Amino acid sequence: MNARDSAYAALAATRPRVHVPGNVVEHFITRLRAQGGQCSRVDDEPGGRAWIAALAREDGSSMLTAKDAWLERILALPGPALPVLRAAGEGPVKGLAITTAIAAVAETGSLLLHPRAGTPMALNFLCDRLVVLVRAADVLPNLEDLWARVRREFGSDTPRALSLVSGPSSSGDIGMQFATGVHGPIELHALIVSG
Amino acid sequence: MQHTSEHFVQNSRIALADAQLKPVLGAVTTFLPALRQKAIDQTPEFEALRDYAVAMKDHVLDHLETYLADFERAVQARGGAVHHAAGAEDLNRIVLALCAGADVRKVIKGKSMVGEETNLNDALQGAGLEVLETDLGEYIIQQAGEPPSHIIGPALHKSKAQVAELFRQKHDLGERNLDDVPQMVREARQMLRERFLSADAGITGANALVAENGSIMLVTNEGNGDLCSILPRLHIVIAGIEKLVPTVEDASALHRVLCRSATGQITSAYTTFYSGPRRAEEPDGPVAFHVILLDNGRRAMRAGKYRSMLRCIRCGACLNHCPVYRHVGGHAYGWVYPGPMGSVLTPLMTGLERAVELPNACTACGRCEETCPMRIPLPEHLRQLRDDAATAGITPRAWRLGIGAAMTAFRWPWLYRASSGLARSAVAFLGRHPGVLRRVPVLRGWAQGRALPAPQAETFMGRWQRRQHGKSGEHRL
Repeated sequence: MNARDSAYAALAATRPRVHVPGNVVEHFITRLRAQGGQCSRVDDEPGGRAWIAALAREDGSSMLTAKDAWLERILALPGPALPVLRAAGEGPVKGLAITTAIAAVAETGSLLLHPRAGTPMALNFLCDRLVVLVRAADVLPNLEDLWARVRREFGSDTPRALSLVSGPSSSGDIGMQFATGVHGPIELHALIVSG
Repeated sequence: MQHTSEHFVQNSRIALADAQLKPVLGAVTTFLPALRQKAIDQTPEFEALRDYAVAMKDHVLDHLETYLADFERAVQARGGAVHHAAGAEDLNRIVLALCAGADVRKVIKGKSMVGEETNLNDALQGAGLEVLETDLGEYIIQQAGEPPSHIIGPALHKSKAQVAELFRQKHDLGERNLDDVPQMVREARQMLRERFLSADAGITGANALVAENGSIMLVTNEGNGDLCSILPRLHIVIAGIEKLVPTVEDASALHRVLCRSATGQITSAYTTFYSGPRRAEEPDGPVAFHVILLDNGRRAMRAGKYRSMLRCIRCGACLNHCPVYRHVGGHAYGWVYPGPMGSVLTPLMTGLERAVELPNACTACGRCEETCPMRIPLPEHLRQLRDDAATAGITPRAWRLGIGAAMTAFRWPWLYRASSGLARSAVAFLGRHPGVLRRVPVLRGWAQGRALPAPQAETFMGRWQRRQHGKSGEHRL
């Protein structure tokens, strides 16, 4: 190890963490809501399927879906009829879109999204309403835990884009008044699936 | 943008006379500090986070060139390219060459202070390219043809009514209701969406450059920076060399103090790490990814007494807490960077001769240093710049004469006592007769808009002497 890396190792050992008090999932929900996001929690995958069907019925439009094995399994479960599903990448991104996060961070109320085959990044930024499914077990306390998870999952071959989404698109540029849906989703909804 | 820092005093007079600006600045410099304080109150670790951010940044500055080399290698390993720009013109030239090479006609931009520093928009438009700012605040001032007035909220100097009027002029959408902010935001969304989808190149800044994996951290609340990075076929990142951090954990460490200090947020709505062009299996993303690293005086800053300025993360906290900024706003400073950080950076980047008035735009209250998340000794740097100006003999003559007179008085205690006694009597008289003050040519401007407080009945020295005399008579000054 050279002098620079030794100095850095000593420094990095002093990096403070932000303490997340109490239940991690509850903290995540509180944080995301404080940032203008919405959050729901279901007990299991069939509960998730029912929740998505109810939202789609209320929305009334077709639903754009990410290509993700877990999401596809949930959508294939028996239950009320779903609207027309369109795979992301086929036609323009608009209306309601649904994707998955590999992890979430309680400290910041963030969901970690990344591009994959069949799941464009534009899905996360061009739709009007974005629904993100995350497993309760994947809600991590703070950012250090998130980066440790990313290193474990991907090694040195991290995805080209790693996006921490922590609320709907917003701005205070006009009259310092908070407004959502400037460019990206007007609504962000996290669905936490337990079990 | 036009450089008018040499006219700071004159610019300030114009700003102080602007009746519309005063309440807006009052609101900005009250609201943003309150938000910051609230976020800090929710973060017991904040001082430790600051300490780490400072130590980490100092470590990077100690090893800047090797971290730059690591970053460049990592970008290349992921299929991107790194370019080095010594000055503003070099950066603009590289951007133009990249655009020409990719047959670019339409450019969309995320907010970038480096882009402002190099006057990139003028260079692109001068070459016949269509350039659109996509950050809502930047879009507003681009439409208005104005420079930014705040590094975080470029259009904060504009009232809601002024923005509504601007949109009516610039957007050909017929009669519609623009009474509230959500309506204006939806209109901007509608106007910009098509432009996002048809752009050839996206240019963004970077809030951090991560040496370990060649990624750039992009922080926005609107998501416009992400759309600029995802949708066009060419993504160009422009950033100062001081944005380097060793690891993603360090980028997050900076992000923690940035969001709390800038907008009082625990986090931004979008924080994305981008590295390299799209991969074969990905349905979207740019086909080419370029990072241009700008020096523009930064290496010289690193080598000298102003090195700590390179810790600056452009959060704007020093602006929001500065009593001078609060009254004159950002445009008075006459260049890209306003407030205390601007009063240090502008002379260092554009020459002290052109900005000699800026280091004097300071009340020495120290709030900028207190609130700076990176603990930059801004008042000390401003004092050093005043010292540099005096050494170089470029301080304005009237100021030199005034400082000379004060030095003479300080050197001779009897003269100081006599002149402060006279001043006390004069101030007492003027305080009782405010009309007189407004007729004195030198003081007329100062007296407009504020009343002279009535002074104490005697000077501090007189009072001290009287008290000491009453006690023992031994410790007279």
